[in-house]
Parts: sequence; C-alpha cells; structure tokens
Amino acid sequence: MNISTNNLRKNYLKEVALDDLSLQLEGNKIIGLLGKNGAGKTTFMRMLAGHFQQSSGTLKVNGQNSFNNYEITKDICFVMESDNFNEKFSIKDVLAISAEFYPNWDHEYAEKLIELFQLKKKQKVKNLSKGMYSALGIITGLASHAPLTIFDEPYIGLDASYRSLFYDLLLESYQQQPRMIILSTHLIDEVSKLFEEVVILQKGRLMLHETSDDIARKHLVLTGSSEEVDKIIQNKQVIYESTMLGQKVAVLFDEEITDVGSLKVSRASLQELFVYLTKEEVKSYA
Amino acid sequence: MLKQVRLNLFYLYKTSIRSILLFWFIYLLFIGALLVLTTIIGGGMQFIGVNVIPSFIFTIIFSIFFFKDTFPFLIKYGTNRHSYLISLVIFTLLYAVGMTILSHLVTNIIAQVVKLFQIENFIFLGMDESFEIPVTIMEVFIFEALLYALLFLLCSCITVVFFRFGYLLGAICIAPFIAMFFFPEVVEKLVGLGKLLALGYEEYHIGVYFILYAIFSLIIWLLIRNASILDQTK
Repeated sequence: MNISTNNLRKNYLKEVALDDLSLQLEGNKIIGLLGKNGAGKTTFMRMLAGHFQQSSGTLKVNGQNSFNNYEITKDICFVMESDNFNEKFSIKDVLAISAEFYPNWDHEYAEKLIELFQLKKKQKVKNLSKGMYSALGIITGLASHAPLTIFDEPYIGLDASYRSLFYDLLLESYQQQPRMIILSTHLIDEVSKLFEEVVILQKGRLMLHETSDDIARKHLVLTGSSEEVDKIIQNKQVIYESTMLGQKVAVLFDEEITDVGSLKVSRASLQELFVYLTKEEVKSYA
Repeated sequence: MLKQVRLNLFYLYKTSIRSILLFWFIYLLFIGALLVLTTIIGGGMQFIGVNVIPSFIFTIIFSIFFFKDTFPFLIKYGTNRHSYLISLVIFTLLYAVGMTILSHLVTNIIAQVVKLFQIENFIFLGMDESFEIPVTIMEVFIFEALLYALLFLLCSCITVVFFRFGYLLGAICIAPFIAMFFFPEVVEKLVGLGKLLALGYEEYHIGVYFILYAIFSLIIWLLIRNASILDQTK
C-alpha cells in the first residue's frame, strides 16, 4: 500500500479539519497516527476510506483517488470507535456481511476471535456493551486481512486485559500477513512498541512523521541546574522545559549535543514526547 | 460494478427482510384477532380494498429509514455511490413485487380462513374488488406493485434531500413542492395528472410510473454521487 497526500485540506462548513497536509506512507508496517482531539486524525482516516471527499489537494491510495473507487476501497477496512455496524444486525449477520465484502476475509480466524473475546453470535449489535462492540470491530478489522487496515480508537470500553489481547493479536496478525495498519490511539504508552512509524497531526497539519527509531534517537531529555541547562539549550529546538527547585528539565528534538557537561541525559517515552510535542507553544517539526 | 451491486443487494436484503416479514406477521395477527373478535362478539366487519393501506404506511416509514440504514454502511464497506443507486433501484422493484405478492398472499390466507370456517360476518377483500370498472387480477397486481415502488422511491428521495442538506435546508428544498398544493389551479392540474397513475381511468398508463421512477432516481443520483456518509453537507 502506498498513501500520498499533497496539500490536503478538508473543511467542515467553516471549520478547517485538515490543512495543507502533505504526507507519504509506504509499505507494510504498523503506523501510529497520533494527535490531540480535533487534530484531524479521524477526518484523514475517513478520507482514506472514501467516506467523503477532500475540499482541496490530493489524496492518492496506490496512485488513485479512494473516493468512489471500489478498486481501492475494497482493500480498506476502517474500524471506528462507533457506528461500524447497523444495530439491527446480530454478530452472526455482521460476520456474514463482512465475509462477503472483504475479499481476504478469514472465516476461521474470525470464529477463533469470537471465542477469544467471548462474544455470542446470536447477540444483536444494539445489545452489545461498549467493550463487546469494540471487540466486534477489532474482530472485523483483524479478520478482514485488508491490505490497508485502519483502527481509530478501536478499544473503547475494553478492559486492560482485552486491550493487551488486541495488541498481541494485532502483532500476530501483522506478522502472519504483513500489511499497512494505521492505528490511531490516545493510549500511546500501551502501543508505542508496535509502531514502526509515527505520524503526529496538530490542528489539521502534519507535525511530525518519523520512524519510531528516529523519534527515539532524535530527542534528548536534559536534567540539571537551571543555569547549566539554559546554557546548553540556547538556540536549540526545545520542545519542553520546566523548572522546579532550581532543577530544570528540557527536552530537545532533532539536535546534536556533543558535550552535556554534568547534566543528566535520558530518553522520554513516546507518550511523553507526544505530550511535549503537542503542547500549544511547540512549533511544527514537519 | 456487478459485483458491487450483488454485494449491495445482499446487504439491503439483510437489512430489510426481518422488518418486512415482521410487519406482515403483525398485520396477519391483527387481522386474525379482528376475525376472532368478530366471530365471538358477532356483528360484522367489512374490509374491501383497504388491505393495502397499512402496507403503504409501512412502506413510507420503512423507506424513510432505509437510506440512512444502508447508504453510510455500504460506503463504509467499500462499495461506491454509483453501485448504491443501481442497487437501490433494483431493490425498490424487488421490494414492490415482494410486497405485492405478500399482500395478495395475506388476502388469500384470510379469504381461505373465512371460507374454511364459513364466517359470514367478516368480509376481507383485496384491492381488486374496490374498482368500479372491471379489472383483471394481473392489472391490480401490477398497479399495486407500481404504487409500492413509487412510494418507496419518493420517500427515499425526500430522505436523501434531508440527509444531504439537513432538516432546515431540506425543508426549504421541499417547501415549494408542498406549497404547490395551496394553489387550487395547480391542485386541479395535479389531480388531472394523477389520473395517469390511477388504474380504472382511461388516462392510466404504466409508462408514467417509470418516468417518475427515472426522475426520482435521477434526483437521488444527483444528491448522492458526491455525498459524504456524514452529510449535511460535509
């Protein structure tokens, strides 16, 4: 799969959801799509799946527009946190319909997942709890084996143990059938190890697109006395700084520091980095 | 495209079959209850040609919800908007034929029960008995099916307008058509044109129905060809 956007823009009436987004995603990998609420993640994923058109710019999936293009959209499975299924249906109906619509549907795998998540096939979608509904979405996404599988916060209502099961299954499914999986999440710490690439959107714009390795490599957390830290970070890309009792913590991004003196150097988790990067005062790194 | 239409029809079937069968089951139960009541209490009941009214009301309600129940989900499953329109038109025709068959079946079941138990104070006759001029059962069958399809497409069309533009803009779009009924000259002309659609009149012509189907389908097509699944309009 190959996704390419150029100056992509989407307005909802007067509100700008995506603004001038240019992005390239290629190959089979698990990509983390991060951003604060309202950053434009769902809008971007919906456009990928052909739910609506962009207001301007281009969006190509395998070189073609995905809007109204069955050749592209048949290979996309987009699981959202809600509104995935008609509430009239039973789980059995949902599986039967998914089996028809997704060309690579794995029936046996779906059955196995139904057992794992302890769902009853006769149960109606409208009677499912939030967690069970999420489980059904996850089952659909995983068993679809769609070349582009997109999960948008698919685990709402799932407890920690089922979420952990989902992450294991996601990785297992990816290893057995490598494909492009885009996972949008707010629980970054839980899934950060799965991501090969990370895309961060901020106010509809691309803030960062890096491999997970690069993100880990490119940042530094410096801790020490205020004076020393201030001296080192002068004229540098500082994405976060805080001072307490004379001790200062500063996070640098995409900077080379040869001599840190007596300062303590450490790494932040992806979640911490995300928080630092998406704070309002941080400038775009895209 | 054929594959998409086949998939869409499968989804439309899955969405609708239970509601349709449930309606006819409840309807049959209701008529059955009236029959039993008439037999027990005595007195008399006559239903001539009105058996289609509940099913027409059902068609209106069913078609109002149908678009919202199907269009966004089918687009999410990956089929495109062109195939949706084709599937909707095919489904409408199948629905019309199916409802007509079920309607006649119910009428016949009731008639057989009445005959079997020799119930004389309960008269339940189909649409074919309600015309003043002689019409064949096939003519009535076709007329009934045409009406189902017309109602279904008309209501779908109105629903699509509201789905696309929201309640306010949708109401503004539809208001001129409703406003026409406040002008007696227009109403007179519409009644005249209505004869083209009414079995039993000399002016009646099946082709007019298909012209209307084409018009409604075209309107739906224009509204959904670029529609967002969230539309209003996004």
